[in-house]
Amino acid sequence: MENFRFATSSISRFLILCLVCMGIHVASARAQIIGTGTVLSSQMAGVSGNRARVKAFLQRKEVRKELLSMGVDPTEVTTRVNSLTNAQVADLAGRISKLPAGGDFGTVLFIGLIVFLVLLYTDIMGYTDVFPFVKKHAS
Amino acid sequence: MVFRMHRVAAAIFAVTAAVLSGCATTPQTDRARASTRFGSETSRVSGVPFFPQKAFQCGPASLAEALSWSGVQVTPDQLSPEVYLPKRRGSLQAEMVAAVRRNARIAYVIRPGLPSLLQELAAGNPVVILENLGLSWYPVWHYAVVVDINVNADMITLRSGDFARQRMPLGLFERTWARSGYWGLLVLPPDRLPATAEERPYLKAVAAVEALGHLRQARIAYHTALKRWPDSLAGQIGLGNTCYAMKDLRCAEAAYRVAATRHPDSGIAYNNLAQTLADEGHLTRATAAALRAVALGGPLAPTFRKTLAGITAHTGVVSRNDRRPDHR
Repeated sequence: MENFRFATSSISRFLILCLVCMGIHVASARAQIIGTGTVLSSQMAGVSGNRARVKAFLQRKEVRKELLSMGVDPTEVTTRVNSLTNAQVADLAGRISKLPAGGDFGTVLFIGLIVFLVLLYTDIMGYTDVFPFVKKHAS
Repeated sequence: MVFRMHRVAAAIFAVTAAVLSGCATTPQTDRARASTRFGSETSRVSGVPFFPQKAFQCGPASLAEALSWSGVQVTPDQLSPEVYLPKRRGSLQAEMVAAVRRNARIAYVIRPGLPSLLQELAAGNPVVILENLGLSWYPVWHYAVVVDINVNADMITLRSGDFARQRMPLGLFERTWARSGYWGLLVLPPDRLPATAEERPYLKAVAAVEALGHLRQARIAYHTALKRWPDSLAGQIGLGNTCYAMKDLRCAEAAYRVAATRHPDSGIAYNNLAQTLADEGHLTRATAAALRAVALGGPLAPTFRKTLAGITAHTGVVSRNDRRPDHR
């Protein structure tokens, strides 16, 4: 229990620190110049802007984790995540395993599928007996 | 019993036929064939090199082809670490777009459909497309680059996989392309506007390049956009912000001033103008602009007030200095 409390309090302290640093970073990096993205985004900053920033921050962490689990080189992953816009990060978070990934990898699998269909068909027709789940009719 | 098995076979055949024919309509190709309003019937892009694809590397290969055309000399091997996902054995659309930006080019996703594709080809822009060579329930996602369309001959030519010139009937292409939602990506140098460019999407594409710190290219692209849409608020602010980031305050001031003159209700224009004037040391004029932004208010009012406070902190000193002569 003590350990748990210690863990949660240190995590929350870390998160608060992160958010504060983000705030300072945003404020100091560019005086009070309002960014081009803000002009273009439909939902302007303000109170909702802070919430959006936190959300984007967490989603970015998630995408980073997913990319790493997909085998992306750890030395590359930061630059890759940073190259994405917030809108893209929001699109990707939690969906990287499902979204289309162009790679033309189908040929081998496609041949496998055809073989499967042919064998399934011949199984059903009673010429072969490869798949136990095909019900056989006594003939 | 034999009768029943035949019925099963017939059912399989029927389902297969239905699945295959379900996506057999090609309305856009038909329309393109019927009319020539999409531009000239034959469009060919030159200067697109060919990189034969290694296994699963159609993403990096297509990108390298488009980037090289746009003037960035890269190879698929160099791009692979930027886009390839080993466990998915492919590349995501979002990362393809991001990689274009990393290489300081404008990534513009065209409006889905054959008309945009034909228009871009006619303007001489190659288009990276995502197609599904398989079926909707058995996708085989593949990137390729369209370099030639001939509506009359019903033929499209792509840099694809191992083929430098893969020729495909337009109807077949439309079917494979439709399954990706007609996704097409332009890779453009900053001084070249897409033929089908729309203001907001284009400026968003430029802002993303600006955000990655490719300021010189972003600045050129904002100029390109402003030539087409001189009244664009986001275009002027973007130009101003880019100049500001490059520490070219005179350029920034000029851009913000145009924005404020043409959009007198834009607090952002006055706010950024105020900050720039303050940085240049014109504190009186900076205060006036900041007051104007605060008066306009809106969701960014807290930032406007901060800008004003930052400037008056300086003017406080200045006005005390100014008062001194009065006490003499």
